[in-house]
Amino acid sequence: MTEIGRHADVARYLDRICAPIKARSMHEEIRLEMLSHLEALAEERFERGGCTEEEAIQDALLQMGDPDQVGRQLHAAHRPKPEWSVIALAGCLLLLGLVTMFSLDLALGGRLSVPHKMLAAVIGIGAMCGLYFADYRKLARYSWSLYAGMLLLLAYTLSHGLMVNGAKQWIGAGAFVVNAYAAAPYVLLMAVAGMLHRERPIRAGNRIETLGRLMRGAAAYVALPTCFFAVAPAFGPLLVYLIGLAALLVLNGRWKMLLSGIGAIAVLLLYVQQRYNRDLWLSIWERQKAFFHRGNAGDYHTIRSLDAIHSGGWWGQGFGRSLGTLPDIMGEFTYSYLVYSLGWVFGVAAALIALVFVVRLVRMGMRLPAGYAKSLVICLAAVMGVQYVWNLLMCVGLLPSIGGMQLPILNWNANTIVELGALGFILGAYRRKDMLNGRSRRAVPQ
Amino acid sequence: MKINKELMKGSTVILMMKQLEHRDMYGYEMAKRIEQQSDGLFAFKEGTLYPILHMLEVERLVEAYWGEENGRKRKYYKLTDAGRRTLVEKEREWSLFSTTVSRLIGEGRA
Repeated sequence: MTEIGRHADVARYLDRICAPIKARSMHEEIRLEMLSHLEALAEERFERGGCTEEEAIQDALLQMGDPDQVGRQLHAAHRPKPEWSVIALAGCLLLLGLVTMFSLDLALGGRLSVPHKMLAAVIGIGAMCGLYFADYRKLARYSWSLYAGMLLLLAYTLSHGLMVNGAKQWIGAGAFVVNAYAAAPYVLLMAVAGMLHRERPIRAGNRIETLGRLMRGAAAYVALPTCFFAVAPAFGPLLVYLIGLAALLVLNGRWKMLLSGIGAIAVLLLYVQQRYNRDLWLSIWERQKAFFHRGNAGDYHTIRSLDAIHSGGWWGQGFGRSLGTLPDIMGEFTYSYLVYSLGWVFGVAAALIALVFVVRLVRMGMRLPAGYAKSLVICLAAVMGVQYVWNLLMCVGLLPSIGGMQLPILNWNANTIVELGALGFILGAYRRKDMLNGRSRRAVPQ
Repeated sequence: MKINKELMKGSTVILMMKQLEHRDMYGYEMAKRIEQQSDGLFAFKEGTLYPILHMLEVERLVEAYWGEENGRKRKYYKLTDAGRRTLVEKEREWSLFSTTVSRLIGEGRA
């Protein structure tokens, strides 16, 4: 039979099937599949004899059924799937952020720049909505530029940035002061996810190529970013970055790089321990005890934080109650202040919301098929998860206090824009999971 | 005798999954085989297969890949491990349902 794809009725039929399907990238594949079925039907009819080609085609179209109905049902299969649980939990965290901000403003006697924080949150929500509807796959192409741009920004921060407490992590951008080093794990990991995704598979047994890639990867993904974080110094973001990177390497099956990386870090840690702190295990044990038996063990920050949390009581000391003894009340120890002012019940509820948020994020990622979207969701969930968990455990004294471990989304500052943007991005990636043409991930026929 | 559409609805998914139990197939092949095996009783508008196949793919009960046969491009479907487990469950559910319905109808007749 001649090409029936060119037949006007067939083309119109396929158009009608595709019309209700909003996921445009599916159209081509659906047309091909339907056409292949129509061809088979028409051919079968024609070979049975007793009809012209034209009649065979009309028969086939009839046999396929109502195109509008098929189109509507196909649309239902491929429609966008918003992850409402994560969106709702993010909303809760934003509300908590609002409460936190006003409480802190009262506690600090109005010294907080509320309009700036509000503006950051509003821009962040805007970025989140914008990136939610953007096509995340376009980012993959610009991964190297994103990576290079972020490293340049980090370098610029080192030379021209603002020094706070001996660390150069901040740069002024208009009305805002952005912590470039706290933003770096988000941006760099998004870039690395794309770089890993775009690497071509290596032919089996090509050792030189394999080794070359291992070295290049170790330099680009591990060594170079680590140097920047260490020079700043920004150990909190470094830890966050490395854990996110480990998640990415696992997802992409880069066990060699992961194991050699862990080996290198273990050797480094052993060296540091031998050199500076022989009683590491003892101090970890002391730390675990300190939460219930407050003594003088632990560092200044931890003692202050524990004092604040213990004196909070079930229902807290009151909204906006000032607390002069707690350091970093606007950053690392915001949570301790919240518990102090609003109580243990509130503290447990806030911690639960944050933890459920992280769990839902990870589960959202695990539901995606292996690929770029999954890498993005899981590594950014890891970035946020590590910060939440570490911050909460650090406030109750179970982990050492590290600068830069703050509560994402809840603690409003200029970096909230990056956090909300990243969240919008991965929610958008999940939303599109059934809207994409699957040919890129499809295996060859058996 | 023709089978009522509403009656067919509940069983199309299991019939299609069952086709994929032993080998991968494309949509046309599945429609033909169901028709043949049921002696022409289960003939339906074939376009309606695809929404079901795509839904199964989205739920990752089947996987799809493109292949070629006699110079024609075909989209093949393959049952995943999760799909196999679901099929076993559905078969059990179906046999319970159908034996119960037959029993009740039988009782009515007696």
